[in-house]
Amino acid sequence: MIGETSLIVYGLLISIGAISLFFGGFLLSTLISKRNLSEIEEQAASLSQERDEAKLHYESLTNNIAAAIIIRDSRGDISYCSPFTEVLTGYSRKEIYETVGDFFLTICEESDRERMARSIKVTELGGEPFQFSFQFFHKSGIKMWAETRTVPITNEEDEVVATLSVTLDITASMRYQMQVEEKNRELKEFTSMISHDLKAPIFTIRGMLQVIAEDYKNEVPSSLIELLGHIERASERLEILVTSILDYAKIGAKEVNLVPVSLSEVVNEVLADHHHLISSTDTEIRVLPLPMVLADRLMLSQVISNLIGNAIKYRMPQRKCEVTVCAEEKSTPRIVKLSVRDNGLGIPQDKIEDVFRPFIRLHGQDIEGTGIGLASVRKLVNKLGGSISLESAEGHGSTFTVTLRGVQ
Amino acid sequence: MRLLVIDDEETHRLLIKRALSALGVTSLDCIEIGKVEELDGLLASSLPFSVVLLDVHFGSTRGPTLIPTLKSHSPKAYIICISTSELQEDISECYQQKADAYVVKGATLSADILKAVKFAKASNEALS
Repeated sequence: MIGETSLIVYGLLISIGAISLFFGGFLLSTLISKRNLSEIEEQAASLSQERDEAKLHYESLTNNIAAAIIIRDSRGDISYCSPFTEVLTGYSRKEIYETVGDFFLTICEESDRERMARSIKVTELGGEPFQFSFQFFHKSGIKMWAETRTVPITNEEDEVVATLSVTLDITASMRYQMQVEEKNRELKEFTSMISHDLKAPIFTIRGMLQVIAEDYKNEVPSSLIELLGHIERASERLEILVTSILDYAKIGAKEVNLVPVSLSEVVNEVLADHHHLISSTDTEIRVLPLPMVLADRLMLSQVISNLIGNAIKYRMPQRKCEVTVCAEEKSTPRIVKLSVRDNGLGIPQDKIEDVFRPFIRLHGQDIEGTGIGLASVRKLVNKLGGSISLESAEGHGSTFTVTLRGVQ
Repeated sequence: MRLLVIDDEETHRLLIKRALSALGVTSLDCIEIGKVEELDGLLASSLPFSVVLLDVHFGSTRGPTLIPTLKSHSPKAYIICISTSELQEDISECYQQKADAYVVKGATLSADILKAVKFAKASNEALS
């Protein structure tokens, strides 16, 4: 009996245990499911928020970017057009959406149409992106410039399902470029005119004076010889001036070849060129250690030659001429400040800016010159990507400081 | 030596011929023209030249454009382009058209022309 009862109890216990396990498992799994659901819901909410934010960002971008963005589906129909497209072209988005084929193809300049159509075809068929500049007509009739980049949008099978075009207004930069080209053309014509039309008569005057001097020197009265001398000297000055103007005009068109250059080498070369001037004026030149710079060697040489030449030319007659060439190097950003200091005539404070203007001669006709030198120096320094400044005290001397790019 | 001077400026032709006379070139050896229209007639009736001094700015004509015609008439001629211009584009244009030298009209014109012509003369002598 006891045995049967025990069996029953055991059976009951096992059953209860089994039931408990069943319900326990059920409760546990229910709890886990609820937790998962909650996490999934949280994740979904988070994703939804991220999606909304991304959409906001995307809309902010496409609505405000100064670019015409157009997406065309595989049938060629426009599925998206950014609001700026209206601003750029003058056409409403409704008109743009109703366009058959590529919108810009319908408004671009005739000469660009074939090239653009070909590029679009290549993108649509072969999945190759393209980018080029073209001219188009704004709805108002104004001719404008744009640069477009069209890329294919592909699916997982690498099939082109749409194309995305981003078109920017480059009218201002193209107009600027055209103005620059026009200026360059004018400069070329100007230099050509000076080179030939101005120099040819000078050549005639000087040549004929030489003919008179050689063939008629015994027949010309001395008073006339003196007058001819005036013509000779004036024509010589005119030739120097014309050559200087030409050199000044040509600086703008010069190509800059920036390479590491040893300042010491260039200064020594310049000093060798000025050897006669230095010794004949008993000038003392001090050159302190100089670093390497990034510059066009020829241009840099012209700058230094001009500054040292000026330092000697505008010396104080009453005292020994002393010129110091030194440099200061700064690492961030890497720049070199080259200074040419003299104890010469100096320049009044209110005339300091004038020395860099062309054809301004502060020392009148007493000292030979064309008034182009320092204007050329500033132009050359600007071409090298640097700047020039002047500190001066009348009667005490001047310090010209040229800022150049250091070598990294 | 037969020389041809092509220059639209009469005074420049005169100065060039004076420089040539220093080399012993007489007016009999030297022919000059001042207009492009005269060139074809001259070439049709002339024997080949040894040296041609060609103005780069020959009136409204670019002197270097005449070099092929001149070379065709006088294949052995030494073509010296001559100009007041020192512009790189003018110099390049002349050499691209196969000029043999470029001389700048200036204070040292005589010496420069003489140097170029002497070189031409020496070249001709070496070839003949």
